[in-house]
Amino acid sequence: MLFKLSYKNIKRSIKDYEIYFLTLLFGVSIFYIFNSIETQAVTLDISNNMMQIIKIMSQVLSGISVFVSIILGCLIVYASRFLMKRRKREFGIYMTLGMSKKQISSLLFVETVIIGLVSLGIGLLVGIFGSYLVSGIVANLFKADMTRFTFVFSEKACAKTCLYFGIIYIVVAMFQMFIIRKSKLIDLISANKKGESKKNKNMLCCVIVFILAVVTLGIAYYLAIEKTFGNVNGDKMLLLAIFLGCLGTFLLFWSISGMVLKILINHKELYYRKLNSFTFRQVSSQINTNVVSMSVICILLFITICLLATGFSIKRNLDESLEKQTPVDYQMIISNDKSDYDLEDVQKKLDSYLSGNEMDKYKVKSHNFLRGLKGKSAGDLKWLEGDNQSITTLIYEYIFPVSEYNEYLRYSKKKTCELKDNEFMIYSTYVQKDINNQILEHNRHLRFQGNNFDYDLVCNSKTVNEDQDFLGPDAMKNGYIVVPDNVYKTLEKNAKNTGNLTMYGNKEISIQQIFDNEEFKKNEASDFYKVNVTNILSNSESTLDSSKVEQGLVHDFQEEIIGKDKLEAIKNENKNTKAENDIALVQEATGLNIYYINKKEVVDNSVGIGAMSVFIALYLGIIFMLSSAVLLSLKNLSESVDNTERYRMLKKIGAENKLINASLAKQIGIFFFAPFAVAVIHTIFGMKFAMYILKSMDQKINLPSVIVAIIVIIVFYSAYYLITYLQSLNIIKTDENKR
Amino acid sequence: MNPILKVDKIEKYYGSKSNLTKAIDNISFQVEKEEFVAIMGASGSGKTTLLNVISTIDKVTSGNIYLNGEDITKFKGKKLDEIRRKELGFIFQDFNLLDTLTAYENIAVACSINKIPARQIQTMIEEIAQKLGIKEILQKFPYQLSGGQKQRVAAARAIITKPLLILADEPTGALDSKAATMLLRQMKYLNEEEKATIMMVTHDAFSASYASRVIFIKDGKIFHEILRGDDKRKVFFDKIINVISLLGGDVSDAL
Repeated sequence: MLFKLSYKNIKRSIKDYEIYFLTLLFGVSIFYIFNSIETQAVTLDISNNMMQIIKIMSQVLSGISVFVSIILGCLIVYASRFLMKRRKREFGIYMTLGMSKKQISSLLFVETVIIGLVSLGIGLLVGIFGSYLVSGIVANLFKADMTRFTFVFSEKACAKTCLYFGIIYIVVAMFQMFIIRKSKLIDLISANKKGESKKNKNMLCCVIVFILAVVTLGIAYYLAIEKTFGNVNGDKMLLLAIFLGCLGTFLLFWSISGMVLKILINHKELYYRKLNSFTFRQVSSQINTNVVSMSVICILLFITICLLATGFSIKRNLDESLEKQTPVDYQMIISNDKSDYDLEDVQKKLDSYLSGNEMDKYKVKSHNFLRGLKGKSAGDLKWLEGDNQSITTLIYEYIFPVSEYNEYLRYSKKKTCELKDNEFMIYSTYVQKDINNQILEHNRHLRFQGNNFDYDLVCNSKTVNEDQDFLGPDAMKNGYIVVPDNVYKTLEKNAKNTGNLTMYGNKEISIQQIFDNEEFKKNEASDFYKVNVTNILSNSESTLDSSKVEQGLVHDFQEEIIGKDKLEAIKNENKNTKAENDIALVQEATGLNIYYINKKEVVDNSVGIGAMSVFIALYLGIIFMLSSAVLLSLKNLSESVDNTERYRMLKKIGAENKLINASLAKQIGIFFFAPFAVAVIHTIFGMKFAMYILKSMDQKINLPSVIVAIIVIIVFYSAYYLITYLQSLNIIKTDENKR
Repeated sequence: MNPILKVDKIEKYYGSKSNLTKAIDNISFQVEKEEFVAIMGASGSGKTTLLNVISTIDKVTSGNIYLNGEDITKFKGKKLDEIRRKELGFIFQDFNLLDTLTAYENIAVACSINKIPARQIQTMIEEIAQKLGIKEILQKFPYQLSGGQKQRVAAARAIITKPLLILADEPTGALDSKAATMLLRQMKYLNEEEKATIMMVTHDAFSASYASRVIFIKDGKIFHEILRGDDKRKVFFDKIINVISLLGGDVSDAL
């Protein structure tokens, strides 16, 4: 009996349940799709390394899924609460007929179970088919071909979806029971008599709140941009900024409707034209009664835009910088930090090793350079800044002689450069670029001073170069300088254990101040080390077997220099310590730093990170868009009844359809795009913040990506606006026909 | 002189062939300029249908309705909106005020729909508000007004565009007797002093006694018609009661 009643209830109020049901359905299918990516990927032709990345990605996604399920849970509870409100009278009638609260609760429970099961079933089906689409995206992002196209069903994702949504349904059911238990019959019965107590807001109050809102938002923006980075309390500041941002948004929507209306009323020509007075009043009252949901929609949109923009940016940046970061297939870097090995010898050994191991069929080129200012990265400088020390030295890690550098440029088919005897060139990117540019503004001198030499070089450009490349990611990040050959030779001669080799950035400001700093001394700022880099470029026909090269270049070669016995001894000695890998181990023991960059690995990682950011952005973006769409729909549904009545009145007093439609379009339009406009303003500042984060990750905001993200959202949002408008129009029309 | 409204042999059927309901069964009458006509009848007599077809909200099955000489049964869509906007004014039982607008704005909407320039609107509203005694409540919202005040605002909205004919559908239906009397007096004032032509549908004899002519409808047909002439309102009221008793027991609720 109960089941039958529940079933009929759902069937009868199918229109009301439509949104609720669709929310569940989309929630389930999106949840399934993003949790089944790992299973999807197995069927694709993907390298091991890629698979590893996909595994990490699916772990990240499943972590995010917890967050997503909380959002969906809140959304579903909100939607169900909304439906309960609409059915109050119905429950009241049941109670007058003698039904107990317990029975109504179980009736609702049965309803929830029915809807839950149906939406879960259909949602999973949609998800299974939808995951095909995602397979395509996975294949595309991971650059795999999708020749084998098989039907996949992820039991794991399915079980997970059922579990998470099961919990959500239980929460919803409990929530409903709670509401029924505390409701009174009289409230239920008279629920349909709407208490019209629309308060007219005080103008002065509105203005004050508006100013307050603007100030609050201003502080939030300021905190987010200026105070979060390089600040000890950065994370607290960020939380404060988020809180103030939400508060400001709320206050803004609270105050703005009253204010704008007041201004419009005073523009009589506009206000009393067509149905404008009606339209503005409607919008104002809608905003008044929906301040919270509008603020939430605004914030959700803001997060969505930022997520998509950042995600696309990272992806694009990675794609763009990939070639730059990996000019060669393989790069081996040997730096002689503290060891007694002579780098000349090491290099000779390497050359003979390479020619003796068929490596000569590749294009191989070795370069020598110096490495200095070890450990002086942007992070350290931040710390210095915090101590009220201004930065006075240029930041770079590597020093190249100009002849060697030009040789490399020729080798990689790039334009060579020229340098006068008293000049130097500087290359750096990201954070270092900005800092170095600031320094160059004040002082373009760089001074190398030792016991028997003193070079004062001038930078040959006004700003830092950033478009050249030499090494892999490491040098790109840390920056390097190119000096005349004779300077290099002197430096090289004095490189090892030259305690008196000092670097000067600025003659006026005493650099000694910085060098006196304990922390800076620890970093051995004045030492240079010799470094050898060997670039290997494969012929176009033959692809490099990475595992073979790795084995050869690193392990065999290590053996060659250090000696088999000694290497074994080191490894045995350190069996119990947790060094990252053999390379790190050897480096620690010998002071000889050998490491390599494998283009394929870099490419895979880069693709992986790009794909990951796109997926996370898509996952959260879709969920947030869904949430704001649902909030808007519920709001629209709740007002459709009242509004229908109003439009009928207008029609009766002779308003043309054209006028009514235009008014409706304006109303919905303002309601849709007001949060969007505020969200875009938030985004401008939010992206500034994101820029700092990306910068610290060696990324930057890619303007086209931001624009693409905004366009994507505008397209979806406008489509949704159009649907809502047509739907509302339809409600009015059908009402007319019924009469 | 042409009558403002001429209803000519109209019929309105509902339902299918097998189960036909004649809501209006061959009704003809005229409303002259500056007349105050009341249509009386029990619920189900067809009086609301009659009002609906005259107000162009519904369509007749056969027959013609001439408004100021124009046959409005031939018009469609936009033209009907225009007629409702320009030639007709409405007062409804449930006021039909827009709850999001102030009294002033409710009246102003009727003007804006008629494309009256904003400059004129203010003077027009002030004038009509003075006459109907609603000047003090113009800036209030409908929920702040009593039923009588709401209905007077609705009356002001109906009259402000100076329509040919004002159609009132049970205007006193939702009012207490004091508010009803006040409203009826004002309608009479509008009719006599402002020369407004009014057609009022009611089942209340007291309301009908304010009219200058009463048409009785029963089962979709005109049953009787009485003119007030020079009678006092009390006398006219008694006459109406007499007719109602003739209409039969089933309309006893008309009192």
